[in-house]
Order: sequence, then C-alpha cells, then structure tokens
Amino acid sequence: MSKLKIYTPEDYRKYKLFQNVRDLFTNISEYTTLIKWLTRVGLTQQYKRSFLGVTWLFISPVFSILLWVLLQTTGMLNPGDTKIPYVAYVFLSNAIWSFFISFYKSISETYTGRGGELLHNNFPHSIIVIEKIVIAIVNFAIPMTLSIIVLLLFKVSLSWSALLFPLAILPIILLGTALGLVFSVLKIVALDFTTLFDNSLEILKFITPVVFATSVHNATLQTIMKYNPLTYLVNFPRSVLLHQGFPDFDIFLLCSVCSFMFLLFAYRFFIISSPIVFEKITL
Amino acid sequence: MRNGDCLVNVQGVSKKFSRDMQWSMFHGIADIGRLLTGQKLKRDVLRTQEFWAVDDVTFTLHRGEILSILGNNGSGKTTMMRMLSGIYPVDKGRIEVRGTVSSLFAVKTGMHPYFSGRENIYVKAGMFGMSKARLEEKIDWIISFSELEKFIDAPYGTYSSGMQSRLGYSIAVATEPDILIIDEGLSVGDVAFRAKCFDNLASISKDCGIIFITHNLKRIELLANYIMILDKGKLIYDAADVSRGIDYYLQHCTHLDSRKNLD
Repeated sequence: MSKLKIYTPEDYRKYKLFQNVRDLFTNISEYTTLIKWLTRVGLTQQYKRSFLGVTWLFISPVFSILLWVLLQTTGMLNPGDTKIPYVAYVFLSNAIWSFFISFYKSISETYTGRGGELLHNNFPHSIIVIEKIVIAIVNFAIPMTLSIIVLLLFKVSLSWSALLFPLAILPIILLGTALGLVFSVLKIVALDFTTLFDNSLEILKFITPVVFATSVHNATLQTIMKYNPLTYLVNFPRSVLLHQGFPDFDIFLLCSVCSFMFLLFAYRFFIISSPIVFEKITL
Repeated sequence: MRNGDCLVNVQGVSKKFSRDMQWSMFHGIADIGRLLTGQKLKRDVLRTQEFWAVDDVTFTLHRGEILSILGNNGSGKTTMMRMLSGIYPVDKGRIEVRGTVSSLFAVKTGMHPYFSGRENIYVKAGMFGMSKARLEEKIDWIISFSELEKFIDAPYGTYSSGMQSRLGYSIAVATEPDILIIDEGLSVGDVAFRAKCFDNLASISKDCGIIFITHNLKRIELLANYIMILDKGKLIYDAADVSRGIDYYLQHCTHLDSRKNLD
C-alpha cells in the first residue's frame, strides 16, 4: 500500500525541531537530482547568452585580481610597513563580508524570487534554500581560490593553519543563512522589515572591522566593535588565513555557538511559518 | 462504480484568503506573532477582509476515476487542487492522500528559457520528485510522446506555447503518479495532440486517479466519469452522471453566485 499523507489545519504544530532537521536531510537525499540541476541552472543561466559561457565564472574574478596586483605592484594604498599589505587585508575582509551578505541576500529571496516555482510545484521549500547555499559557496570558492594563488605568488606567507579557513568561515555562513531564512518569510508579509534591515547592513559593515582594523583610533567605534559579534566572526577566519594566530578564540567560539543556535531557531521559524504566509505571495 | 481503492478523501475542507493586500500582510504578521509566542492560529474564523475561497468541500477520488471539476473563474478549483498537492495548508477540515501526486498547474513555471527542452525535463521531473534513474528510463518516452524529437535540444524559450504544454504534460504523465492533477494544462495544445492526451488519460486512468480541470465541456463529457461543480468555493453539484452535470452547469453558470455581483 502506498504512503498515506494527511493534511489538517494543525499540521504546523505536528513536528518538533528534531523532526524538522531530519526532514531536511531526507529532502536533500530525495531531491539530490533537482538540487544538482537547479544549481547548474542558477550558476550558468546568466552566461547562456555568451560565447565563453561558464568560463566567465573564472574570468570575472581575474579582473579584480588584476586590479589588486596593479595596486600592489605600484605600491598604491600601501600605508607603510605593515606585515600584511593593507590591500590584501581589505580585499580579504571584503570577500568574507560579501560572502556573508550573499548568503543573507540570496536566501532571503527564496519566496519573493522563486515563489512561482513553489506555488506550482509541490517540492519542499528547503530545496531552493539548499540550491542558493551551493551557488553562494561556488561563487565564493572560485575567486577565493584564485586569490589565494595570487597571495602565494606575492609571497604572502600562508601556513598550514590556512587549511582551517573553511571551518573558520563556517559560523558567519551559518549566521547569513539564518538571517536569510528569517527574512525570506518576513519579505512576504511586509517588505518594511527587510528594507530596514538591508539599510542597517551598510551601517553594520562600518562597525565591523572590514575596512578598518580593530585598532582604529576612535574610542566609540572601538567599543562598538568590541561588542559586535560580527567582529569576531570576520576577524577569526581572516587571521587564520593570513597566519596571524587565533585571536579571541573563546569569544569566536561563543559567537559560533550562538550563530548555530540562531540558525536552528531560524530554520524552525522558516519551516512552521512559511506555509502559513506563503499563500500571501502575489504573482 | 467507485470500486477502486480510495486515493483522495477530502472532508469538510476550507481555505480562506484575504482580498486586501494590507490586511493580508497584517494577518500574516499576526500569525507569525502567534507562532512565535506559541499561541494557536485562528484558522477557522474569518478576520477582517477575509473570505472563504474554498468552503466546506467534501469529496473522494478512487483509483480508476477521472474526476472533472467545473466552475466559473475564481470558484476555488485551483485552490482546492493546491491543497491536495500539499502546496497550500488547509484552514479547516482534513485531506487524506494515498500515494504520489503529480500536479500540472502552469506548464511554464520552473522552466528556463535559455536551457534546452532536454535540460528542462531534468529540472521539471526533479520537481515532481523523480529520481535520476527513473528519469533515464522515461526520458525517451517523454521526448517521443511530446513529439519534440527535432526540437528537444533547442532552447525552451523558442518553443511555442503548445510545444511547452506538450512537454509539461508528458513529464507529468511520465512520473506515473497515483493521482494526476491537470489544471487547464492542455488548453493550448493543438487538437491532434489534445486528442492524443485524452486517449492517453483514458488508458492510464485504470491505474490511477485523475482530476481534470478544463472549460472544454465536450471533452469532459467524453472522458470524465465523475463531475463536480464548484461555485464561490462551495461544492454545489457532484455526481457520476457527467452529462447531467454539464447540463446543470450550462443552465446555471450565468447566474451562479460567482457572477451575481458582476452586473
């Protein structure tokens, strides 16, 4: 006898978090082919109308690296004898920051961007989220790998601890994913929240040591940075990659645990509230 | 009649929507607030600016049946089918679905214009939950049934709407579901292909249950063996005598509730 599915108004209260997480893994294994194809489509469709096709995925980062090399070799923007070139510092911080933002941005568009597909096909909503995560990782990994190669060519010393980088960057990804999940739902009911948050992100970037180092001379800014969890989530992976040791490891660990807890909460929120508000999508 | 095993059992199902966008948003925020604070949702009562899109509908679908649903625009046909497919949650009542469901709503959604028909088959079949191995077995059938052999590697965006619907229909049927839902998916195919689809529907209907929504009354009369008429979300007629159902609809369709406030 085939599987029986029952739909009632109480469905949203039926499962606990543990079951929700288990469902996620079941869905991933059941829909592996779909994830693969959606990722492929998502990554390549913007290059379909070009002759070079997916090669552009590699060519575009080369341009930003060329700019970097130009700045570096001419000695522009290199204030004095810092151990790590300032440009490399900003370059890397920016890369980590935009990686974080790309998770938040793309996942928050799950419903506003892809609602039509979900409204006409009955596959789990989390598949779209997984697709967006894979795409964000690929979009980050390609320029990142190229940059690391260039860093090595410029004899920026990378040690074996740099191999911990993917692990060190994980917490900020979790945080970006969690924010994306929460705002994907809020975007359906009111854009106000999202617009407000998007604008705050600009400010957030300046109170996180992305462009400035933590040793900035403004006392207020220093205090804010000290209590901003993102400071540690950005600083740590960067230091790991540039072989600057493991600064504030305990705080980083605490922030990581908090990010993970927040992700669990966000996922639960996404699972129970998205079916309720999903129907409010207007296409 | 009605001797196949019961595939779908819909008991007193209702679904409400909001007419006003701001109120809809407000109710959405209120619902999220209730979920976060662990309160029960107010699903069985209408709030400001809400209405029942599907109102207390009860029916069953058995294996071997082709159920056709008639109704004026906005009478709740698609909403009902979305609930059956598990896309919309129900607000009242209970739905039991035994087996797999493949529903074809809008053939174009989820298809990517720059990608070939073949690539789109993989995407769409994936959305139906078809495994890769299963699809490899069926892909030749999909291509030949949709009569797109010559065009299958051309971009989907270059297909005519008829070709697009042929492909959509073929993929949905290839999933071999227990319950197949077709919501006006065939209205743009040409006459020859439509005839082929209806033959195909009749032949596969022995092993599954089919729900078929169309405004093509002639086809319903030839194909369906059960008929339902919805009006403003309410089930106003259901019977196995399809011809009488169609007569009833033709007599009443112009002055049903859904058209009353048009004048």
